[in-house]
Amino acid sequence: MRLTDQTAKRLALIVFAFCLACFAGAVAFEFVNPTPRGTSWGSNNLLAEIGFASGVFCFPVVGVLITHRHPRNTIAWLMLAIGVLWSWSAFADSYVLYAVVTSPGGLPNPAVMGASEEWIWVPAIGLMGTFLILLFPDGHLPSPGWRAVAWVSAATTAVATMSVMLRPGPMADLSVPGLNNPLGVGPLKEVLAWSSASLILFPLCILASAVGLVVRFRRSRGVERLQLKWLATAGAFVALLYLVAMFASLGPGKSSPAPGWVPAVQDAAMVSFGVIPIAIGVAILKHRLYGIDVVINKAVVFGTLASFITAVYVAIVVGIGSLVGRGDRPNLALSIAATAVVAVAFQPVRDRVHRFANRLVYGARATPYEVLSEFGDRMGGTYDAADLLPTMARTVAQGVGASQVDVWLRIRSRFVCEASWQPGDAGRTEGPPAAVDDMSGLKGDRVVPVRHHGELLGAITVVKALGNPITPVEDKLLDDVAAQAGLVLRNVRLIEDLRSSRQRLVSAQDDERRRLERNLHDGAQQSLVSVALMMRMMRARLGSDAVQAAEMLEEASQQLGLAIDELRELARGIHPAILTDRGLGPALKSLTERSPVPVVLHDNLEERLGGTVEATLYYVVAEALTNVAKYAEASEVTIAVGLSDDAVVLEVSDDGAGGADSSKGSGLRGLSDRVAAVDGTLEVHSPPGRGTRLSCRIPTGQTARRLENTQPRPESHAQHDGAESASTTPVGVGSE
Amino acid sequence: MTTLIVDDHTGFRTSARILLQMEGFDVVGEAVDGASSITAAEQLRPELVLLDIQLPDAKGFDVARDLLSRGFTKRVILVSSRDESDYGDSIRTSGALGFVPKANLSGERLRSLLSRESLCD
Repeated sequence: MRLTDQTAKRLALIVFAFCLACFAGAVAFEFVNPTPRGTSWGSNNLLAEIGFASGVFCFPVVGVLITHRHPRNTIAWLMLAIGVLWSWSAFADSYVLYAVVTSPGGLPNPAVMGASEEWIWVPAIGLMGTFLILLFPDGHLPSPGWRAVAWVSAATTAVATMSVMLRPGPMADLSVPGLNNPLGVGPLKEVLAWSSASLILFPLCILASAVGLVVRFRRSRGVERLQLKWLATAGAFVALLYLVAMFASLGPGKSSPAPGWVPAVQDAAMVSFGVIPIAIGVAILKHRLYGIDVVINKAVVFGTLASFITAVYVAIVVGIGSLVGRGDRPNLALSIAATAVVAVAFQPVRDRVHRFANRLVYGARATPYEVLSEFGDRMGGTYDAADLLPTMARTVAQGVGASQVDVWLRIRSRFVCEASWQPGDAGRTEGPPAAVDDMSGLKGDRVVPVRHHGELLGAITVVKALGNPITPVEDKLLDDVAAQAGLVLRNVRLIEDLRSSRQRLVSAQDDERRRLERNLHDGAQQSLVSVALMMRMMRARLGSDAVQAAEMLEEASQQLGLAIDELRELARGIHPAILTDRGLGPALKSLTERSPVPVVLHDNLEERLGGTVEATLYYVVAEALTNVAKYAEASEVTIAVGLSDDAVVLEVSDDGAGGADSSKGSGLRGLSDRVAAVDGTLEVHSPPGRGTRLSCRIPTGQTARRLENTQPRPESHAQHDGAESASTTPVGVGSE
Repeated sequence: MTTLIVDDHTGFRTSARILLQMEGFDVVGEAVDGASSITAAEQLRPELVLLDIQLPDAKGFDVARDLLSRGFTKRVILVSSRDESDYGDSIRTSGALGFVPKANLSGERLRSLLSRESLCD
């Protein structure tokens, strides 16, 4: 029969309602029933009874909660079954007590009710002690080999149940002894006596199941390991309480009444049963909310330390004390010695235990907290961008036990792999691609985007070994690391940007020097060399041939004039004096006057700008005019410069051939860098055949003020003739 | 001695022509770059080529090798407005007779280099 999820959920609710009803009935009976009964366990008061019932009642509660999320979970249905058994047992027992003792004859058929519950503890404990442990957490056996244990457990439970259920004679396990078992089968008496021997197998089955749990834990990884830790912790807690309670019960003989704390411990042990279903529920439903790792870790550390201290005290105070024969009285010297030993040994022992606990819980990996704090330390202590990202990859890999971690940097909407990490012993698998186009191209068990102030800066991809999923805790760790990594990636990217722009600026500077050298060499120096030659020849001819000497003098003075022109032009190219002295408007006007192509200048600036901004704009115009003269075949150029709200805006357009490509020459790119250095933008619009328009925008305000503060302020000359004066410059004389 | 002057700078060519003529050289032609100097030398077969190193289209060393290997001339003297030390051993390996800084150009310097050639022979 195949149940739908919905039906399974409904069924679970019905079962739970039955348990609830039984539980409520049992509690109601408990209030009216007398409490003293001759059991040897617990305080036997009302509170303890209800406490035990509540602890056991946790089974169906957790069971129904799990089915709500996972309707087909085997463990959940096992817990519901256990709940049904205990609930009915509690109800029927209270019923019998009421019907026989509290109100004799008040309720019908106490014997039948008794017979319906007398045997229940057998399957209830059977399910709890074997199958629940054996099948946790996924509902399957640890491996097919464990089928034998399952069959033996099932058979033992069945046989033991039958032998108790069908035993003839008075029922021994009820609150009211002496009722005859109506289900008893007299002729089977002998057989049943033998079969009840199967009860001896019970502890063995429970032990085998516990071994199964250990085996499963050793093999487990990730989520399953976490789940097992919950059950193991709860189981260990309950077992410890029972151990203490059992030894306490053995301590004082049957004759003298036990001290008050013994029944209290016994009560606690009984109630503690509730911890197991709760732990199972947490493990299956919500283990990601609590870091059980930390709980276990601390428990191991404190438990071991407490044992250590106790052992030292016992060994020294009791052991040596009894050796010297004064064990009856406390020996102050020995106590002091013990304290001293503990004090000296405490720190090293604590360190060792701590390391041991870490290894136990986290294996070879660091704890999540260590990863995060180490990550912070390393990032804080490393300034070299080349080290930052590999360090990040390594830290993440060690934190989550990954087989590969890659760190990606987002550069112009592409993701570039900047650092990879693989453990040394892993065979190097094929590395990631150098770059991918978007997030979907990133492969890994987990791809964590890295953001800073909402901006996507990169990603961390994590690959774990096969069959080794990322646990929720590791997931959380990755998110935490990614949150910290945002700042790191932003810094790395800033450094990269800065480095490449610095390289461009340096190479632009070199280009400029080369150009200067060439200009000097080709121009002024050549002319001066010629002059020198003329002078020498003149000296030789001075006395003999006055006419030729005069010709040479003429030639020499022409060459000198040329050299002077060339030097002047060169000096203007280095930094035009008019720009410094009179500002951008007059400097542009002088530039346009020398342009071979006619220029219309619209100068709408009314005040001086910062020195750097003025120089930048000047060179943009100079380069634009050079390009127009060289390539554009234009008949006219229009230059407009003025202030908008928060920026100075420059536009140079011509009516020439268009088709300018900023990627071809270094001139336009150099200008772009120059403009970018003052936070400005430069755009080239140059459709073929439709002229070229160069738009430059440099923000004023903060940038301009900052730059002005760092620049020697040029003498301020208000430019009165600038506003709205459009000067048309006719064809200028070429500077060549 | 028939001489070809190769330099892109007009002023220098003029001065050099006057100077060489005064010193008794027979200036048979002028060229402004590497390519035209090859053409000119092929036609004129000058006994001496006065060759600038910084030509707009080529390095004087390469032009010198070309002229000599193709037999268009037997003697090349390199000139430049830079210093000899700026060129390392490129001058020595170019096959040219030698180098004269432009500002020190004189018949005496040229003759001294030419006589070194005859000594070698």
